[in-house]
Amino acid sequence: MSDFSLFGPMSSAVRSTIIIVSFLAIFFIVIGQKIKKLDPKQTPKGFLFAIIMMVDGFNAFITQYMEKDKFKFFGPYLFTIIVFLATANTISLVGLTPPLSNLAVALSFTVMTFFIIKIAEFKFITVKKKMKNLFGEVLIMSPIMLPINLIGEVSTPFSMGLRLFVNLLSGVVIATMVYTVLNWVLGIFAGIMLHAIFDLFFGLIQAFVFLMLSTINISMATDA
Amino acid sequence: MFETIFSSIVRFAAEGHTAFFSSGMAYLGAGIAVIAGLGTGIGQGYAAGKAAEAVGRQPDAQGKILVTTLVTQAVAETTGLYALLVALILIGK
Repeated sequence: MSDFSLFGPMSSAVRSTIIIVSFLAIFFIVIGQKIKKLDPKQTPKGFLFAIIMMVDGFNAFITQYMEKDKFKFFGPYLFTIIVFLATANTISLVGLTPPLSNLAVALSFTVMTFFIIKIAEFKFITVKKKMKNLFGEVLIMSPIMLPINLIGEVSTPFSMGLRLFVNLLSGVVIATMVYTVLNWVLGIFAGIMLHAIFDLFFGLIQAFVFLMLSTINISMATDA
Repeated sequence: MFETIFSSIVRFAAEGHTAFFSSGMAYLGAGIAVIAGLGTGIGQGYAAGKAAEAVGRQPDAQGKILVTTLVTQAVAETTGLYALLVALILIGK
């Protein structure tokens, strides 16, 4: 964390991204292989049962905010997002740099959100309806409404990515400042408080908020 | 990309002044930028107060109110976060 710089080449964040992605990929591939071999007549037990309960709870939670057909298409994406963000935002508990404190990683989330909203629109609403959304209800007002709506198309994913970035960045900046001032004995005691607040609490809240905003944005883009 | 844009703006603004003066003005601007936290704090506090009121009136719906409050507070937080980002860019000068 000591090699922190705001805009320089920050390879430590990208490195921890690659570590998290490979870890999660291996973990879920192994779990998937085990679940495939499961006997449907028997009750699963132990660790697999916890995983199945987690996925079930996630499905039940998201279907409150989304219709069934949209959930079937976007559910895997949303689950991947929440698992990656929850792991990535708490990764500094094991000493790695949180990936979202790098602007490039956060803006890649912007690009992903932009494309997922576009895919939702192409799949679930017609071009005519999208045009009506862009131009507004009243045709005379369309020269005013069109630029506003076009900016809104870009600014929603941009603000979502930037929100993740600045939240994680503020935690990293404050932790770096405190660790620079204190020696290592006091740093241990301060670190307990800092990481409990900035990593566990804010990190998990931001992961959850990103999930909820993605869900709501997809629902709004396809409903309206 | 941001760094080059901001450095060119600051260089243009501080032409004819010393580097000491321009860095001091950048720190002053960073301090002024985070005044935006005032509005964020008021907004988030208002949302939290209303949520507490709603839970008091209808204790059964606590789960849904909690989710809604978290999302709305995160949206209200955005302006404060932008101010923080501007301040960090100015300090990084």
